[in-house]
Amino acid sequence: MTSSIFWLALGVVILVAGSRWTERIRRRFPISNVLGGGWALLALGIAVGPHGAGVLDGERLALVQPILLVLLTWSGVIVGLQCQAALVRAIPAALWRWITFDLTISLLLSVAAAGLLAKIWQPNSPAAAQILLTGIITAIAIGWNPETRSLGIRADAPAMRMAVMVQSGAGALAICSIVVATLAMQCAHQDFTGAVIFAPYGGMVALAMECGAVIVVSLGAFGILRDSREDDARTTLIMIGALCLLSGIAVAFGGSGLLTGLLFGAMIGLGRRRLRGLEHLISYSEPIVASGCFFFAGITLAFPGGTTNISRVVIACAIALSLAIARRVLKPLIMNVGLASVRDSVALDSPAARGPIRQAPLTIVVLLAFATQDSSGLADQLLGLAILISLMSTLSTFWPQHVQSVTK
Amino acid sequence: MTLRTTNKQTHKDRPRFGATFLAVALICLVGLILITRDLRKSIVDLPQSNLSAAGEITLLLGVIILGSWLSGRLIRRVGLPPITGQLLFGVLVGPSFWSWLHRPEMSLINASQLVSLQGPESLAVIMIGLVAGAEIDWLFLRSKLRVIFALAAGQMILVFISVGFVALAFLDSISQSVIVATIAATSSSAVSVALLREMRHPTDFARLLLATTVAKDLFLVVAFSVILFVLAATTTTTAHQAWYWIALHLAGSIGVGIALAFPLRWTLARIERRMTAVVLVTAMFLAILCSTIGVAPLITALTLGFTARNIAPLATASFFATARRLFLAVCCVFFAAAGTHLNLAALAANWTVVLAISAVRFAGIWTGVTIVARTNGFSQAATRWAWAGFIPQAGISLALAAQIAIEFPNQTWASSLTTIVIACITLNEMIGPILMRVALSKVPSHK
Repeated sequence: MTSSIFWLALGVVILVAGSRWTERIRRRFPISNVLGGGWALLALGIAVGPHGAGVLDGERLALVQPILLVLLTWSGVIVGLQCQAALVRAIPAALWRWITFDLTISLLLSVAAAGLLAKIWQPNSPAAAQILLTGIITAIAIGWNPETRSLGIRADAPAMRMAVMVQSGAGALAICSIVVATLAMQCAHQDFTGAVIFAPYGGMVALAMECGAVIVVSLGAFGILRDSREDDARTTLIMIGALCLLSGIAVAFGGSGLLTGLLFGAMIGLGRRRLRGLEHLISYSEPIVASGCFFFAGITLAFPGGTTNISRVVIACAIALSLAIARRVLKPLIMNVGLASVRDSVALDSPAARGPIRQAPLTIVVLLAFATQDSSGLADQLLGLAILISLMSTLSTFWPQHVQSVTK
Repeated sequence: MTLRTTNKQTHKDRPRFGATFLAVALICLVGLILITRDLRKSIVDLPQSNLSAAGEITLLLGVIILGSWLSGRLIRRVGLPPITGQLLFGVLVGPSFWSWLHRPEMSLINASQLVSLQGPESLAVIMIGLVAGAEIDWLFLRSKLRVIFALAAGQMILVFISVGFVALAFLDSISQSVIVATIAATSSSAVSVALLREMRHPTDFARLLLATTVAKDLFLVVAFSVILFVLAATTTTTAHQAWYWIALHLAGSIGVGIALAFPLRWTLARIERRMTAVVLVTAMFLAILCSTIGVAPLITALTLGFTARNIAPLATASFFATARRLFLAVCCVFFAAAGTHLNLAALAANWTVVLAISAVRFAGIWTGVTIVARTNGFSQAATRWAWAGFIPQAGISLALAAQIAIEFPNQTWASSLTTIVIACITLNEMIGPILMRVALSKVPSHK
């Protein structure tokens, strides 16, 4: 009976989320400014998950886990589809510089952050665990939220260019984030006893197998989709089938489906012929996938260090706050240095320029993927931490930004 | 000249899936799964996923969806309906066929894995019910009520009598013969709606076949329940179960379907986005509700689809359009899963009785439908081919067959009777769609 109540509640939330009332409320109040549109499902996930009322626990949780796998693969496809040949060619040199700079700084700082977090959570952790943690934290630190509309709209050309830069940079860094996290998870993973081992050979062979499978599936799917002539039913069928298959293959090789989805999307996107039916399906499904991921994040997350000990709660909040402050300080700095050469043509003081401060929503997906392989509970706590950082970094965008711009 | 140009354009717009491409894709798909499984065992130090059981389900679902679609397309190249290809794919990857050949290790999906596919299967049943219900227009139903009644009654009476006598000759028991005859009179709404959706513009003839099948099956569910009640009352102590079954499976299912149509209409009038999610959540909710309160999912979904579509055609248009878009994937899952469940061993073991019953059933349906078609002024082609629309059997027939073992748990004859009935259904499930497809192609329009 409880599962029926849960499904009823989930159904009601999804129906309410898609209703005209919610649309009106969303337009009137800046709800999407804080944590995108998935906050309601995140709250529902927390409420029904094992850390909440426990409605979705044990066997019931196992029933919905295939949906999580498909959602992870789907998220990968959404990110991978951005790799369209025309789009990649159109990336300006300044944006490449910004992306490289962000990637390098994130990697360097993550090594330090991983060391710090390991000291707090797992003081005696081996080197393999450090590598895994560094990879995951780098994936969290890389990139930003691609959404710029909620920050405010300025219609002049430099501001528009800035918004495009922020969106493109977020897309490119999302790809980097998935690749870094997957490499870390494949090379350093838990063995049967639960201990983290560094086994790059097995990880790389598994990755190669996944890539081989993706190539076969992508070529077949592309061939069918190319000839489908925008047939909605067939496009939906091929996508559902390919997503299920790829997520299953990824799990068979110990992965999560995120990278297989990314490669599948990239292969489809890099094809010469554009598949508008598929693009429409993907853009249409994006909010559903995001909502689903937020829901599963709510089920999975755990408050870092637990909620019983006040001092641990304070420490966790302090860590989240310090990381949010670090984002608030470093991301604009990286942006200023990366885009220094085009300072006269992009508006660094426009509302969209505050975008890089906000935590990328993809972080949640990456940590969900990590949670599918982690049985120590670290992924759940990192997910909790990432939600806190997301909230704090979003709130910090309301703080005024002092940037000298030549375009003004 | 204009006609020739139009034909050329239609031919050009058609997808170009060559038989070689489809066959290679299918082989690659099956090969991929076999290689994946073998490599996983042989590589050491592989990362482990906590969700390996969930991964197995998604992998099988992917194979079933893509494999059965490819098989359907491939079989279409030789003029057979895609459903037959989907069923054959299910047979070839399922455990039943390989067990019959004494090579169970060759099957791609084993018996325990089939259990994990029950969730997607029940969702598929709900979706088929929703789409089938939505295909029946009340105005059409009202205008054809007399014909539908005559078609259903004509074939049911003849099939019941003829199959009953043949079954009596083989089984030597009136009660068992009555059970076999009742199940033989059922047809398949799922096959009807799948073939109807396959047509770009469903004809009135196709709609008539679907409406008659649905009406007939609903009646037979009641009749079967009454028969089981009477038999159970005389042979077992679990007589109350039959009444319970009638109340829940028919009255309950129809009641729940009608009751849910009103909140669905109210909700759909207020929702304009994310219709795919709404359709999937509705199907999931229905599946859970049906299993929780014990009503029949197909009948509930059928009634819900019919009521919602007819009380609010505009508000539900987008909902059913989305359900139809997902229908192709649903059919692939449903028919491939049905193929995996086909009991070929039972068919081989009882082939004489199965062949006799099926032949008499064919004759009964042919006679009944042809007489009614002639007396009701059907076109020549429709009169000649209408009978073929009632040969397929699937979901409801199997559900009724399963009910025999539930109602008579301690009777030795129950299991052997179930085997024979399932073998008959297997034969009709394989031949029926081919015949129905021929009928639909021979009768392009019916007035």
